[in-house]
Amino acid sequence: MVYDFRVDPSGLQWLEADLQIAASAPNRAAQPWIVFNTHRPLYCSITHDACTKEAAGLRAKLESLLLKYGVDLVITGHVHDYERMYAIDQGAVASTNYVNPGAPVYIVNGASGNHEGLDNQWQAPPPAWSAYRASEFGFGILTVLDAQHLQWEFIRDSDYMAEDGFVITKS
Amino acid sequence: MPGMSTPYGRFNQIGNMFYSFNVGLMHVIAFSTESSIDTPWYVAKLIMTFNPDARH
Repeated sequence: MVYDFRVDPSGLQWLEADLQIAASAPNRAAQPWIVFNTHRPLYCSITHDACTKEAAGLRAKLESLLLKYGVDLVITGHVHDYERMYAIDQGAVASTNYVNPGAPVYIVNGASGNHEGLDNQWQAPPPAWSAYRASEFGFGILTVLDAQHLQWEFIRDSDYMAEDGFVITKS
Repeated sequence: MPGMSTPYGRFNQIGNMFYSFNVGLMHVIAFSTESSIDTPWYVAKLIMTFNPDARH
């Protein structure tokens, strides 16, 4: 069954009202990082419906708000793997180095493990916005280093070493 | 934990739940696109994750 994107208007109204507060000057000065978490990915690149069909529906509902209010990082799950994206603006790569990215950076971290196992059927070649992909069990650590630096690490379970990571820098 | 606001949120008509809170230098939004059960679970995970004491 393909997910039907049931993000109804009241949810979107709540989200925009909250983002308006978050992005207001006093709040942004006190909390410069806006992190958005939802279950299903807006961007991902395995071959099943969550990425090839459903993600576009969620992008149509949510992405303009995330861009408008300057969300820094979007963390999702649902697909059972790990994927790091570049900063993305409506399907286009906004930047690749995470320095003043100008658009949200997207992470899929659905790799904590369950009875269904890992997803490993990756699209080939990867989309231009897909920076790193791993079918590894693991977990993420998000660390606010300071108001200019937000660090993400993905730690693999097999040896507790960092499989991937990056730092978003804003000046 | 110090510096953390009380999470606030709501259900909508179809049972989705939405939360947001400030912690340290972050404003965190947990936005459900699924049934009512998943977002409270996210919030619990987020609070644990963002609580530095929970990492020791």
